[in-house]
Amino acid sequence: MSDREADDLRSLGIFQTALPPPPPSATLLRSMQEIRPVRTRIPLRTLLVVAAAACVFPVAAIALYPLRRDLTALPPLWVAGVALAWFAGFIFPLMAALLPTPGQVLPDGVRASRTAFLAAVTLVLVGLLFTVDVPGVTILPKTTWAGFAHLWWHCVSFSLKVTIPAVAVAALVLRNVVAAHLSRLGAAVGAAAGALSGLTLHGICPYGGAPHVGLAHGGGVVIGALMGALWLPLLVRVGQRRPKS
Amino acid sequence: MLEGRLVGPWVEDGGATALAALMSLYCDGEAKAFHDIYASLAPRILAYLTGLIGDRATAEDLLQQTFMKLHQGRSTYVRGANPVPWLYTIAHRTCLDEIRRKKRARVRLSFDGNLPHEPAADITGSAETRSDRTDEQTVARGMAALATLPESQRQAVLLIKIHGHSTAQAASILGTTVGAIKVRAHRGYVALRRKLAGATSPGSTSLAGASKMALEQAP
Repeated sequence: MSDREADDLRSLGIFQTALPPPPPSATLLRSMQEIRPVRTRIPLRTLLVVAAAACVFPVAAIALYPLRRDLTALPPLWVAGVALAWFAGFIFPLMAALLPTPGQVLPDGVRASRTAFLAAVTLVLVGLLFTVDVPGVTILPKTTWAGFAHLWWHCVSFSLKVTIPAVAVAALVLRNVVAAHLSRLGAAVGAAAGALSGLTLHGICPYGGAPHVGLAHGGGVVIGALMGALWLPLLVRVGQRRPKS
Repeated sequence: MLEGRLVGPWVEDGGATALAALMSLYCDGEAKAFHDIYASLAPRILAYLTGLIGDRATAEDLLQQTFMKLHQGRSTYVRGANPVPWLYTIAHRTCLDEIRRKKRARVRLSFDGNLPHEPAADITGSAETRSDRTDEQTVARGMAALATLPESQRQAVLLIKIHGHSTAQAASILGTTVGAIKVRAHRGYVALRRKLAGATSPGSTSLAGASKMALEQAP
Protein backbone atom coordinates (compact mmCIF):
# COMPACT_ATOMS: atom_id res chain seq x y z
CA MET A 1 0.00 0.00 0.00
CA SER A 2 1.56 3.25 -1.00
CA ASP A 3 0.91 6.96 -0.73
CA ARG A 4 0.87 6.98 -4.51
CA GLU A 5 -2.27 4.86 -4.53
CA ALA A 6 -3.96 7.19 -2.07
CA ASP A 7 -2.95 10.22 -4.11
CA ASP A 8 -4.17 8.47 -7.20
CA LEU A 9 -7.63 7.97 -5.74
CA ARG A 10 -7.74 11.49 -4.40
CA SER A 11 -6.70 12.83 -7.79
CA LEU A 12 -9.87 11.35 -9.21
CA GLY A 13 -11.83 13.70 -7.02
CA ILE A 14 -14.74 11.31 -6.98
CA PHE A 15 -15.45 11.68 -3.30
CA GLN A 16 -15.08 15.42 -3.01
CA THR A 17 -18.35 17.12 -2.42
CA ALA A 18 -19.21 20.73 -1.88
CA LEU A 19 -22.38 19.85 -0.01
CA PRO A 20 -22.06 20.96 3.62
CA PRO A 21 -23.34 18.70 6.39
CA PRO A 22 -26.69 19.55 7.94
CA PRO A 23 -26.67 21.63 11.13
CA PRO A 24 -26.99 19.77 14.46
CA SER A 25 -30.47 18.37 14.99
CA ALA A 26 -33.01 20.02 17.29
CA THR A 27 -32.46 17.27 19.87
CA LEU A 28 -28.73 17.92 19.87
CA LEU A 29 -29.22 21.66 20.14
CA ARG A 30 -31.63 21.14 23.04
CA SER A 31 -29.02 18.97 24.74
CA MET A 32 -26.46 21.75 24.29
CA GLN A 33 -28.71 24.18 26.15
CA GLU A 34 -28.70 21.86 29.15
CA ILE A 35 -25.03 20.90 28.89
CA ARG A 36 -23.18 20.35 32.17
CA PRO A 37 -19.56 19.58 32.96
CA VAL A 38 -18.83 15.88 33.19
CA ARG A 39 -16.08 13.96 34.93
CA THR A 40 -14.09 12.28 32.18
CA ARG A 41 -12.77 8.75 32.26
CA ILE A 42 -9.40 8.00 33.83
CA PRO A 43 -8.36 4.62 32.41
CA LEU A 44 -6.16 3.77 35.40
CA ARG A 45 -9.13 4.22 37.71
CA THR A 46 -11.17 1.92 35.47
CA LEU A 47 -8.39 -0.65 35.72
CA LEU A 48 -8.33 -0.43 39.50
CA VAL A 49 -12.12 -0.80 39.74
CA VAL A 50 -12.13 -3.96 37.60
CA ALA A 51 -9.07 -5.34 39.42
CA ALA A 52 -10.82 -4.74 42.75
CA ALA A 53 -13.93 -6.57 41.52
CA ALA A 54 -11.76 -9.49 40.40
CA CYS A 55 -10.03 -9.60 43.80
CA VAL A 56 -13.21 -9.94 45.89
CA PHE A 57 -13.55 -13.73 45.67
CA PRO A 58 -9.81 -14.55 45.88
CA VAL A 59 -9.44 -12.41 49.02
CA ALA A 60 -12.45 -14.13 50.58
CA ALA A 61 -11.06 -17.55 49.61
CA ILE A 62 -7.66 -16.80 51.13
CA ALA A 63 -9.37 -15.65 54.32
CA LEU A 64 -11.62 -18.73 54.48
CA TYR A 65 -9.44 -21.58 53.26
CA PRO A 66 -6.08 -22.73 54.64
CA LEU A 67 -2.92 -22.46 52.57
CA ARG A 68 -1.79 -25.60 50.73
CA ARG A 69 -0.06 -27.94 53.13
CA ASP A 70 3.03 -28.52 50.95
CA LEU A 71 3.76 -24.76 50.64
CA THR A 72 6.63 -24.78 53.13
CA ALA A 73 8.16 -27.89 51.57
CA LEU A 74 8.25 -26.47 48.02
CA PRO A 75 11.30 -24.60 46.66
CA PRO A 76 10.70 -20.91 47.58
CA LEU A 77 12.19 -19.68 44.31
CA TRP A 78 9.79 -21.88 42.31
CA VAL A 79 6.82 -20.71 44.42
CA ALA A 80 7.77 -17.06 43.85
CA GLY A 81 8.56 -17.54 40.14
CA VAL A 82 5.28 -19.27 39.35
CA ALA A 83 3.33 -16.75 41.45
CA LEU A 84 4.98 -14.00 39.41
CA ALA A 85 3.94 -15.72 36.17
CA TRP A 86 0.31 -15.93 37.36
CA PHE A 87 0.41 -12.30 38.48
CA ALA A 88 1.81 -11.20 35.11
CA GLY A 89 -0.99 -13.20 33.48
CA PHE A 90 -3.43 -11.14 35.54
CA ILE A 91 -2.02 -7.66 35.15
CA PHE A 92 -0.90 -7.57 31.48
CA PRO A 93 -4.17 -8.72 29.87
CA LEU A 94 -6.10 -6.41 32.20
CA MET A 95 -3.92 -3.46 31.18
CA ALA A 96 -4.31 -4.37 27.51
CA ALA A 97 -8.08 -4.59 27.88
CA LEU A 98 -8.67 -1.36 29.78
CA LEU A 99 -5.80 1.05 29.14
CA PRO A 100 -5.82 2.75 25.72
CA THR A 101 -2.55 3.25 23.88
CA PRO A 102 -1.17 6.78 24.48
CA GLY A 103 -3.17 9.45 22.69
CA GLN A 104 -6.18 7.19 22.07
CA VAL A 105 -9.59 7.03 23.74
CA LEU A 106 -10.30 3.35 23.14
CA PRO A 107 -8.33 0.31 24.22
CA ASP A 108 -6.74 -1.67 21.39
CA GLY A 109 -8.77 -4.84 20.89
CA VAL A 110 -6.16 -6.61 18.81
CA ARG A 111 -3.50 -6.01 21.44
CA ALA A 112 -5.92 -7.21 24.13
CA SER A 113 -6.79 -10.44 22.35
CA ARG A 114 -3.15 -11.19 21.60
CA THR A 115 -2.21 -10.62 25.24
CA ALA A 116 -5.07 -12.86 26.38
CA PHE A 117 -4.00 -15.62 24.00
CA LEU A 118 -0.38 -15.35 25.07
CA ALA A 119 -1.32 -15.41 28.76
CA ALA A 120 -3.59 -18.44 28.34
CA VAL A 121 -1.06 -20.49 26.38
CA THR A 122 1.86 -19.53 28.63
CA LEU A 123 0.02 -20.32 31.87
CA VAL A 124 -1.26 -23.69 30.62
CA LEU A 125 2.29 -24.57 29.56
CA VAL A 126 3.73 -23.34 32.86
CA GLY A 127 1.29 -25.63 34.67
CA LEU A 128 2.01 -28.62 32.44
CA LEU A 129 5.77 -28.27 32.23
CA PHE A 130 6.96 -26.57 35.39
CA THR A 131 4.80 -27.99 38.18
CA VAL A 132 6.79 -29.21 41.17
CA ASP A 133 5.34 -31.67 43.71
CA VAL A 134 6.69 -32.80 47.07
CA PRO A 135 6.39 -36.61 47.20
CA GLY A 136 4.36 -37.71 50.17
CA VAL A 137 3.17 -34.21 51.00
CA THR A 138 1.46 -32.92 47.85
CA ILE A 139 -1.92 -34.57 47.26
CA LEU A 140 -2.17 -35.91 43.71
CA PRO A 141 -5.59 -36.34 42.08
CA LYS A 142 -6.84 -39.86 41.39
CA THR A 143 -5.62 -41.23 38.12
CA THR A 144 -9.16 -42.05 36.98
CA TRP A 145 -11.08 -39.80 34.59
CA ALA A 146 -13.83 -39.27 37.15
CA GLY A 147 -11.38 -38.23 39.84
CA PHE A 148 -9.56 -35.90 37.49
CA ALA A 149 -12.77 -34.37 36.14
CA HIS A 150 -14.19 -33.77 39.62
CA LEU A 151 -11.15 -31.78 40.74
CA TRP A 152 -10.89 -30.10 37.33
CA TRP A 153 -14.41 -28.74 37.68
CA HIS A 154 -13.74 -27.75 41.31
CA CYS A 155 -10.85 -25.47 40.28
CA VAL A 156 -12.46 -24.25 37.04
CA SER A 157 -15.61 -23.25 38.92
CA PHE A 158 -13.36 -21.31 41.31
CA SER A 159 -12.01 -19.48 38.25
CA LEU A 160 -15.53 -18.69 37.06
CA LYS A 161 -16.35 -17.14 40.44
CA VAL A 162 -13.48 -14.72 39.87
CA THR A 163 -14.33 -14.14 36.20
CA ILE A 164 -18.03 -13.33 36.56
CA PRO A 165 -17.71 -10.22 38.78
CA ALA A 166 -14.67 -9.00 36.83
CA VAL A 167 -16.46 -9.21 33.47
CA ALA A 168 -19.66 -7.73 34.91
CA VAL A 169 -17.83 -4.71 36.32
CA ALA A 170 -15.79 -4.34 33.11
CA ALA A 171 -19.07 -4.24 31.18
CA LEU A 172 -20.35 -1.59 33.55
CA VAL A 173 -17.33 0.67 33.07
CA LEU A 174 -17.12 0.08 29.32
CA ARG A 175 -20.84 0.35 28.53
CA ASN A 176 -20.68 3.86 27.10
CA VAL A 177 -17.18 3.77 25.67
CA VAL A 178 -18.43 2.37 22.31
CA ALA A 179 -15.34 0.23 21.91
CA ALA A 180 -15.23 -1.58 18.60
CA HIS A 181 -14.14 -5.05 19.63
CA LEU A 182 -15.76 -5.96 22.90
CA SER A 183 -15.24 -9.71 22.44
CA ARG A 184 -11.50 -9.22 22.32
CA LEU A 185 -11.53 -6.92 25.33
CA GLY A 186 -13.77 -9.42 27.14
CA ALA A 187 -11.33 -12.23 26.37
CA ALA A 188 -8.52 -10.23 27.94
CA VAL A 189 -10.56 -9.38 31.06
CA GLY A 190 -11.63 -13.03 31.38
CA ALA A 191 -8.09 -14.30 30.92
CA ALA A 192 -6.85 -11.84 33.54
CA ALA A 193 -9.49 -13.03 36.01
CA GLY A 194 -8.59 -16.65 35.24
CA ALA A 195 -4.94 -15.90 35.91
CA LEU A 196 -5.84 -14.24 39.22
CA SER A 197 -7.76 -17.36 40.22
CA GLY A 198 -4.69 -19.40 39.19
CA LEU A 199 -2.56 -17.23 41.44
CA THR A 200 -4.94 -17.81 44.32
CA LEU A 201 -5.10 -21.55 43.68
CA HIS A 202 -1.30 -21.60 43.56
CA GLY A 203 -1.49 -20.67 47.23
CA ILE A 204 -4.50 -22.60 48.46
CA CYS A 205 -5.24 -25.58 46.19
CA PRO A 206 -4.01 -28.68 48.01
CA TYR A 207 -3.84 -30.73 44.82
CA GLY A 208 -0.75 -30.93 42.66
CA GLY A 209 0.30 -32.82 39.56
CA ALA A 210 1.09 -31.25 36.20
CA PRO A 211 -2.18 -32.33 34.48
CA HIS A 212 -4.30 -30.83 37.27
CA VAL A 213 -2.37 -27.56 37.47
CA GLY A 214 -2.00 -27.19 33.69
CA LEU A 215 -5.52 -28.15 32.67
CA ALA A 216 -7.56 -27.02 35.69
CA HIS A 217 -5.69 -23.92 36.91
CA GLY A 218 -4.38 -23.03 33.43
CA GLY A 219 -7.67 -24.16 31.90
CA GLY A 220 -9.37 -21.58 34.11
CA VAL A 221 -7.54 -18.90 32.13
CA VAL A 222 -8.70 -20.37 28.82
CA ILE A 223 -12.29 -20.76 29.99
CA GLY A 224 -12.22 -17.30 31.58
CA ALA A 225 -11.09 -15.83 28.25
CA LEU A 226 -13.83 -17.64 26.35
CA MET A 227 -16.50 -16.62 28.85
CA GLY A 228 -15.28 -13.02 28.84
CA ALA A 229 -15.37 -12.91 25.03
CA LEU A 230 -18.93 -14.21 25.11
CA TRP A 231 -20.35 -12.25 28.03
CA LEU A 232 -18.80 -8.80 27.77
CA PRO A 233 -20.51 -7.79 24.48
CA LEU A 234 -23.84 -9.11 25.78
CA LEU A 235 -23.58 -7.32 29.11
CA VAL A 236 -22.44 -4.08 27.47
CA ARG A 237 -25.39 -4.21 25.08
CA VAL A 238 -27.77 -4.71 28.00
CA GLY A 239 -26.26 -1.81 29.95
CA GLN A 240 -26.03 0.67 27.09
CA ARG A 241 -28.25 3.70 27.00
CA ARG A 242 -30.28 4.08 23.85
CA PRO A 243 -29.58 7.33 21.99
CA LYS A 244 -32.52 9.71 21.84
CA SER A 245 -33.51 10.15 18.24
CA MET B 1 -10.53 27.16 13.85
CA LEU B 2 -9.89 23.86 12.25
CA GLU B 3 -11.23 23.73 8.78
CA GLY B 4 -13.02 20.57 7.80
CA ARG B 5 -11.46 18.88 4.82
CA LEU B 6 -12.94 15.85 3.20
CA VAL B 7 -9.92 14.61 1.34
CA GLY B 8 -6.32 14.49 2.37
CA PRO B 9 -4.18 13.43 5.27
CA TRP B 10 -5.78 15.51 7.99
CA VAL B 11 -4.64 13.61 11.05
CA GLU B 12 -1.68 15.85 11.64
CA ASP B 13 -0.60 16.30 15.22
CA GLY B 14 -1.65 19.94 15.27
CA GLY B 15 -5.21 19.09 14.34
CA ALA B 16 -5.42 16.28 16.85
CA THR B 17 -4.08 18.48 19.65
CA ALA B 18 -6.53 21.27 18.87
CA LEU B 19 -9.43 18.83 18.73
CA ALA B 20 -8.35 17.25 22.01
CA ALA B 21 -8.37 20.72 23.59
CA LEU B 22 -11.83 21.41 22.17
CA MET B 23 -13.07 18.07 23.43
CA SER B 24 -11.82 18.91 26.93
CA LEU B 25 -13.68 22.22 26.83
CA TYR B 26 -16.79 20.38 25.65
CA CYS B 27 -16.51 17.98 28.58
CA ASP B 28 -16.17 21.01 30.86
CA GLY B 29 -19.62 22.11 29.69
CA GLU B 30 -18.88 24.61 26.92
CA ALA B 31 -21.50 24.27 24.23
CA LYS B 32 -19.47 26.39 21.81
CA ALA B 33 -16.75 23.75 21.84
CA PHE B 34 -19.31 21.21 20.66
CA HIS B 35 -20.27 23.45 17.75
CA ASP B 36 -16.60 23.85 16.84
CA ILE B 37 -16.08 20.09 16.95
CA TYR B 38 -19.19 19.60 14.86
CA ALA B 39 -18.01 22.14 12.29
CA SER B 40 -14.60 20.49 12.09
CA LEU B 41 -15.58 16.85 12.01
CA ALA B 42 -19.13 16.60 10.68
CA PRO B 43 -18.07 16.95 7.01
CA ARG B 44 -15.56 14.09 7.32
CA ILE B 45 -17.87 11.87 9.30
CA LEU B 46 -20.72 12.55 6.89
CA ALA B 47 -18.50 11.68 3.94
CA TYR B 48 -17.42 8.47 5.64
CA LEU B 49 -21.00 7.50 6.47
CA THR B 50 -22.17 8.33 2.96
CA GLY B 51 -19.43 6.13 1.58
CA LEU B 52 -20.41 3.29 3.88
CA ILE B 53 -24.17 3.42 3.50
CA GLY B 54 -24.36 4.88 -0.01
CA ASP B 55 -27.28 7.15 0.76
CA ARG B 56 -26.88 10.77 1.73
CA ALA B 57 -30.19 11.12 3.62
CA THR B 58 -29.54 8.06 5.78
CA ALA B 59 -25.96 9.22 6.30
CA GLU B 60 -27.24 12.55 7.60
CA ASP B 61 -29.48 10.75 10.09
CA LEU B 62 -26.56 8.60 11.18
CA LEU B 63 -24.42 11.71 11.55
CA GLN B 64 -26.90 13.12 14.05
CA GLN B 65 -27.01 9.81 15.90
CA THR B 66 -23.21 9.72 15.98
CA PHE B 67 -22.96 13.15 17.56
CA MET B 68 -25.76 12.31 19.97
CA LYS B 69 -23.79 9.25 21.07
CA LEU B 70 -20.71 11.44 21.40
CA HIS B 71 -22.69 13.80 23.59
CA GLN B 72 -24.09 11.03 25.76
CA GLY B 73 -20.74 9.27 26.02
CA ARG B 74 -18.53 12.33 26.51
CA SER B 75 -17.81 11.27 30.08
CA THR B 76 -15.90 8.29 28.68
CA TYR B 77 -13.47 10.57 26.84
CA VAL B 78 -9.88 10.42 28.04
CA ARG B 79 -8.49 13.94 28.38
CA GLY B 80 -5.66 14.72 25.99
CA ALA B 81 -6.51 11.86 23.62
CA ASN B 82 -7.24 12.33 19.93
CA PRO B 83 -11.05 12.20 19.65
CA VAL B 84 -11.09 11.63 15.88
CA PRO B 85 -10.53 7.83 15.72
CA TRP B 86 -13.03 7.48 18.57
CA LEU B 87 -15.64 9.50 16.69
CA TYR B 88 -15.01 7.43 13.56
CA THR B 89 -15.50 4.28 15.63
CA ILE B 90 -18.80 5.61 16.99
CA ALA B 91 -19.89 6.49 13.45
CA HIS B 92 -18.81 3.08 12.19
CA ARG B 93 -20.72 1.24 14.92
CA THR B 94 -23.79 3.42 14.37
CA CYS B 95 -23.66 2.63 10.68
CA LEU B 96 -23.32 -1.11 11.29
CA ASP B 97 -26.33 -0.98 13.64
CA GLU B 98 -28.32 0.76 10.90
CA ILE B 99 -27.30 -1.81 8.30
CA ARG B 100 -28.32 -4.64 10.66
CA ARG B 101 -31.60 -2.86 11.42
CA LYS B 102 -32.31 -2.50 7.69
CA LYS B 103 -31.58 -6.18 7.12
CA ARG B 104 -34.03 -7.10 9.86
CA ALA B 105 -36.69 -4.62 8.70
CA ARG B 106 -39.75 -6.02 6.96
CA VAL B 107 -40.47 -4.94 3.42
CA ARG B 108 -44.10 -4.31 2.55
CA LEU B 109 -45.04 -5.98 -0.73
CA SER B 110 -48.11 -5.46 -2.87
CA PHE B 111 -50.58 -8.30 -3.55
CA ASP B 112 -48.61 -9.47 -6.58
CA GLY B 113 -45.45 -9.74 -4.46
CA ASN B 114 -43.70 -6.70 -5.92
CA LEU B 115 -42.35 -3.71 -4.09
CA PRO B 116 -44.90 -0.87 -3.93
CA HIS B 117 -44.46 1.89 -6.45
CA GLU B 118 -42.80 4.97 -5.07
CA PRO B 119 -43.46 8.22 -6.88
CA ALA B 120 -40.37 9.90 -8.27
CA ALA B 121 -39.13 12.82 -6.22
CA ASP B 122 -40.40 16.14 -7.41
CA ILE B 123 -37.24 18.09 -8.07
CA THR B 124 -37.80 21.77 -7.79
CA GLY B 125 -35.67 24.52 -6.47
CA SER B 126 -32.35 26.12 -6.96
CA ALA B 127 -30.74 26.60 -10.29
CA GLU B 128 -27.93 24.16 -10.74
CA THR B 129 -24.74 25.14 -12.51
CA ARG B 130 -23.18 22.78 -15.00
CA SER B 131 -20.10 22.21 -12.85
CA ASP B 132 -22.33 21.30 -9.87
CA ARG B 133 -24.05 18.71 -12.01
CA THR B 134 -20.73 17.34 -13.19
CA ASP B 135 -19.49 17.14 -9.62
CA GLU B 136 -22.62 15.32 -8.57
CA GLN B 137 -22.31 12.91 -11.48
CA THR B 138 -18.68 12.27 -10.64
CA VAL B 139 -19.48 11.69 -6.98
CA ALA B 140 -22.41 9.46 -7.95
CA ARG B 141 -20.15 7.40 -10.22
CA GLY B 142 -17.56 7.10 -7.49
CA MET B 143 -20.19 6.13 -4.94
CA ALA B 144 -21.65 3.54 -7.30
CA ALA B 145 -18.22 2.02 -7.86
CA LEU B 146 -17.51 2.08 -4.15
CA ALA B 147 -20.85 0.42 -3.37
CA THR B 148 -19.90 -2.60 -5.49
CA LEU B 149 -16.87 -3.36 -3.31
CA PRO B 150 -17.19 -5.93 -0.52
CA GLU B 151 -17.97 -4.21 2.77
CA SER B 152 -14.60 -4.89 4.37
CA GLN B 153 -12.72 -3.48 1.36
CA ARG B 154 -15.04 -0.49 1.15
CA GLN B 155 -14.39 0.38 4.79
CA ALA B 156 -10.63 0.05 4.36
CA VAL B 157 -10.53 2.14 1.17
CA LEU B 158 -12.69 4.84 2.74
CA LEU B 159 -10.63 5.13 5.89
CA ILE B 160 -7.14 4.85 4.44
CA LYS B 161 -7.36 6.05 0.86
CA ILE B 162 -10.07 8.66 1.06
CA HIS B 163 -9.92 9.89 4.65
CA GLY B 164 -6.16 9.64 5.10
CA HIS B 165 -6.11 7.53 8.28
CA SER B 166 -3.02 5.55 9.10
CA THR B 167 -3.36 1.79 8.81
CA ALA B 168 -3.04 1.51 12.60
CA GLN B 169 -5.90 3.95 13.16
CA ALA B 170 -8.07 2.29 10.54
CA ALA B 171 -7.37 -1.10 12.12
CA SER B 172 -8.35 0.31 15.49
CA ILE B 173 -11.59 1.78 14.15
CA LEU B 174 -12.57 -1.43 12.33
CA GLY B 175 -11.34 -3.75 15.05
CA THR B 176 -8.88 -5.72 12.98
CA THR B 177 -5.15 -6.10 12.46
CA VAL B 178 -2.87 -3.75 10.53
CA GLY B 179 -1.89 -6.55 8.13
CA ALA B 180 -5.51 -7.37 7.32
CA ILE B 181 -6.41 -3.73 6.75
CA LYS B 182 -3.48 -3.24 4.35
CA VAL B 183 -4.57 -6.22 2.27
CA ARG B 184 -8.21 -5.07 2.21
CA ALA B 185 -7.27 -1.52 1.26
CA HIS B 186 -5.01 -2.65 -1.56
CA ARG B 187 -7.54 -5.11 -2.96
CA GLY B 188 -10.28 -2.51 -2.66
CA TYR B 189 -8.13 0.08 -4.39
CA VAL B 190 -7.31 -2.24 -7.29
CA ALA B 191 -10.98 -3.25 -7.66
CA LEU B 192 -12.16 0.36 -7.47
CA ARG B 193 -9.74 1.50 -10.15
CA ARG B 194 -10.80 -1.36 -12.39
CA LYS B 195 -14.47 -0.50 -11.93
CA LEU B 196 -13.92 3.20 -12.54
CA ALA B 197 -11.92 2.44 -15.66
CA GLY B 198 -14.72 0.19 -16.92
CA ALA B 199 -17.42 2.74 -16.13
CA THR B 200 -15.87 5.57 -18.12
CA SER B 201 -16.37 5.99 -21.84
CA PRO B 202 -13.19 6.36 -23.91
CA GLY B 203 -14.02 9.76 -25.34
CA SER B 204 -15.00 11.53 -22.14
CA THR B 205 -12.78 13.06 -19.51
CA SER B 206 -11.46 9.74 -18.37
CA LEU B 207 -11.32 9.01 -14.68
CA ALA B 208 -9.16 6.02 -15.45
CA GLY B 209 -6.98 8.21 -17.61
CA ALA B 210 -6.73 10.74 -14.83
CA SER B 211 -5.69 8.07 -12.40
CA LYS B 212 -3.21 6.64 -14.90
CA MET B 213 -1.71 10.08 -15.46
CA ALA B 214 -1.47 10.60 -11.72
CA LEU B 215 0.33 7.31 -11.40
CA GLU B 216 2.71 8.10 -14.24
CA GLN B 217 3.47 11.57 -12.91
CA ALA B 218 4.10 10.33 -9.40
CA PRO B 219 7.78 10.00 -8.53
